[in-house]
Amino acid sequence: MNKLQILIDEILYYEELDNGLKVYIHPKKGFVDYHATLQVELGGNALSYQYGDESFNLPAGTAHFLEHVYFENDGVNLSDEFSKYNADINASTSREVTKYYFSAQENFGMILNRFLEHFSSVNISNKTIEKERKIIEKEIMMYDDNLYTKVNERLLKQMYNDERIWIDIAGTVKTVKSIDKKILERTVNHFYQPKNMVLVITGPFDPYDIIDLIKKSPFNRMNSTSNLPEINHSILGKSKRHIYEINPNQNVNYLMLGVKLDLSIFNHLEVSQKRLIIIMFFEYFFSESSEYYKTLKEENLINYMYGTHIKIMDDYAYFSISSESVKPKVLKNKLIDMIKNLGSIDKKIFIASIRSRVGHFISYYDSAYSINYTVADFTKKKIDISNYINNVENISFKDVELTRNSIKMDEIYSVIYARN
Amino acid sequence: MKLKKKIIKGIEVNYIPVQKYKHMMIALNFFSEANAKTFNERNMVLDLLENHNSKFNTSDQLNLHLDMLYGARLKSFVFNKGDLLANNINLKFVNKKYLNDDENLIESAFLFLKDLIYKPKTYKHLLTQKATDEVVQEAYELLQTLSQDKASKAYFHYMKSVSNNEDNTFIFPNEEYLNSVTNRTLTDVYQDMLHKDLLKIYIIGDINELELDNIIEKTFNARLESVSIDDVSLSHSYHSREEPQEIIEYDDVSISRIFLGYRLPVTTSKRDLEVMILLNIIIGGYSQSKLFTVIREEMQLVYYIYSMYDHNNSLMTINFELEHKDEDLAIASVKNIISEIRSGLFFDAEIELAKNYLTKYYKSSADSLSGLLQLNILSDMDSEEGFNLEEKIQSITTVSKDELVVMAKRLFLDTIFRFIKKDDVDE
Repeated sequence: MNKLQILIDEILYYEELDNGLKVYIHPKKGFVDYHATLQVELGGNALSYQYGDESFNLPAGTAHFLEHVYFENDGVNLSDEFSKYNADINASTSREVTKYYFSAQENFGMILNRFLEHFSSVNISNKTIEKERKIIEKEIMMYDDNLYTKVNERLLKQMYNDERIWIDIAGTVKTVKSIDKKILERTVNHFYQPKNMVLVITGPFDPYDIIDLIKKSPFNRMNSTSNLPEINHSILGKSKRHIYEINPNQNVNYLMLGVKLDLSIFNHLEVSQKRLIIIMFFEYFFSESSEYYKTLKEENLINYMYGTHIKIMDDYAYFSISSESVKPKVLKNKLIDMIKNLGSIDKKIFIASIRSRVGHFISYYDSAYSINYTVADFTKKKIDISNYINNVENISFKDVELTRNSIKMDEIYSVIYARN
Repeated sequence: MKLKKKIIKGIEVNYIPVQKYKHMMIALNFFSEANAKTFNERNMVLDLLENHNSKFNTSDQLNLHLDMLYGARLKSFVFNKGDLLANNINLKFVNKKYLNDDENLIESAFLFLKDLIYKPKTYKHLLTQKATDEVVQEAYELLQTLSQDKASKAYFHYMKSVSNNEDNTFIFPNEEYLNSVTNRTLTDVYQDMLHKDLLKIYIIGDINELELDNIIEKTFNARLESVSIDDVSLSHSYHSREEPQEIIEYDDVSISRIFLGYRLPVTTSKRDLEVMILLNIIIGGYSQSKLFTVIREEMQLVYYIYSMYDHNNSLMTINFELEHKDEDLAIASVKNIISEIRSGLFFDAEIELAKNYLTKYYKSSADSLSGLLQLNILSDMDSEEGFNLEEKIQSITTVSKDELVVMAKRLFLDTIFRFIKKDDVDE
């Protein structure tokens, strides 16, 4: 195993198995919890993809549906089984990945083995599919009332024609109805291959015992094919940049504004540096402790529902701001004006921000859970975890200033949902 | 774990030494007897201290200071145990042995907290009108947002209904008293906090007591005698109902939100509390609970369903969302589950699973820096002693089925609250 020194007393062990599964093991002596995460590179964005020479389409919500049905195998429910060992198992689906994870405090080796055995071969039954379909339909309806979700989806629809960027991860009641066993099994064959997965394990163990266990498990006997699914996004948007709609049932006005970013200017940087300078740049200007925030607040244009969001993927990136507002049109114009005329950055704040990132990174190592989450997240984002502090400390002020040039000024979009 | 208590300059200081964490936390707790009329001010004063400080001038300067302390995290909130209210300010910061820096971060952290608490912006000895206007405005905005977010609105209205609009549920903002908040009333609460409340400091992490004794000695002024909180009740009383009330509220929603409020007699018994916490787990506290396995997994009526026990208000709330057509069936099934538990129709294996789950929960909480700190603060509020994990586990382990049945029989349905679509009126 490769040993990666993270902090003076924290070591991450890494090995890629022959079948392509990437395994990260982080021993955490003196703590009581064990955590394991199996992360599959299949998310809500997998509506169409290339696999070898062929193109495939999936109904929206397929990855999420699989996450629901994957707990049952030949009539055995993994959640019920794990509860007998006092282990909690759960799963989640994001736009990019599906995660299965559990925590335990005793019999970890046995439970991990069972976990790996389960995910090495799952037989999806029609009975489980029908049961979970009903539950997922209820889940979808729950989010129908959320104004933020509606406005966010509408904004992204304007910014990107590619529905893989914005469609609801759970799909719609209609698409969920169209998912069947054949679709699920084909998706498993294409995406649930060891080389398309990452396994992260943290807890009070000897790392060599854990890698031995994994190598002896049925998971190690799984094979990967020569193909991996490929998803490339189209970043074109609609020509109509600004939407204003009135909904008499709303109690508030809500604005969301988004701007696309050009990532090509950051090609000389490591992923964590690229991500951090973009985040630092927009935090500097638009976080809740920024001068701009203060101005917007003083002019009574925003309230405490104000929030910002930055999405940075391999092939697209955007920054968005949202808030309830009594004057949403004025707010929109003010924000556009601010983005087009950003001031200079105070170097002192840049230095403080670097120190803050270092402190936050160290804080991840205060629990087996947060280490597990961070390692899985960093692998998803392709961040070099072993050199993180070094990379952060080597970010130059000039690089942060570079972000200014990444803003596509002609691609600013807004959506206002106004009350009557 | 034993809290190491000391009095320094009239302030009770509690050390919780644990070496395995890379951070330390300091928590300043100002304890007082809860009062519905000043509850808004109690909440607002913390926000005001953070955002209207004469030393840091603006919130960006305050955040800059925190960032320079390697991303120290400031968190302030109000919580209560019955009528005992705590204004909590805590700061988490990194242990300097992980940094290439000679700065004494502990000393800097205490100085920061001192500035935060003692240097709000004032005008003619009062907190400023501008700051007051801002925090009041935010409370009104919060009320408006609550009415837009349907899930929050439903819960908010349910809590009002179940408590008969009584004051002692301590939900912020309390609309009734919001228009009486002034910079004078805020200043009075702030002065009470500084001079009358019982201040306790808790410090957790890899600590050097002697160093901390000296820093606290240097940082704080001598504290005069605080009010006694010995007689403050740790559980609320409430007006019980003869018959359950059923309330239906209509709104522009796509799914029905249902709350069932079960009351139980007010108790301060530690044993009753342990039994009720376990009973709540069995009923709806986790993924193997009765409610989850029957109503979601077997009947597939809901995506989520849970029960939540609120000791402060002697209230167990069951909440779920579902289609209008399934409401009556789900409510009847919930009642049936409670009825079966009252009759002892559940298995020892289910009790064991719930005990294991709860034990794991406490072990996990006591394994995190902030979890261990909060468990110790709550334990100290209860019994002036530190949190004892072994004792807690022992206590959970010995709860019997008979005790659970007796406790279930003491539960009585107080409120059924339906928050449903406007057109979902049965014909």
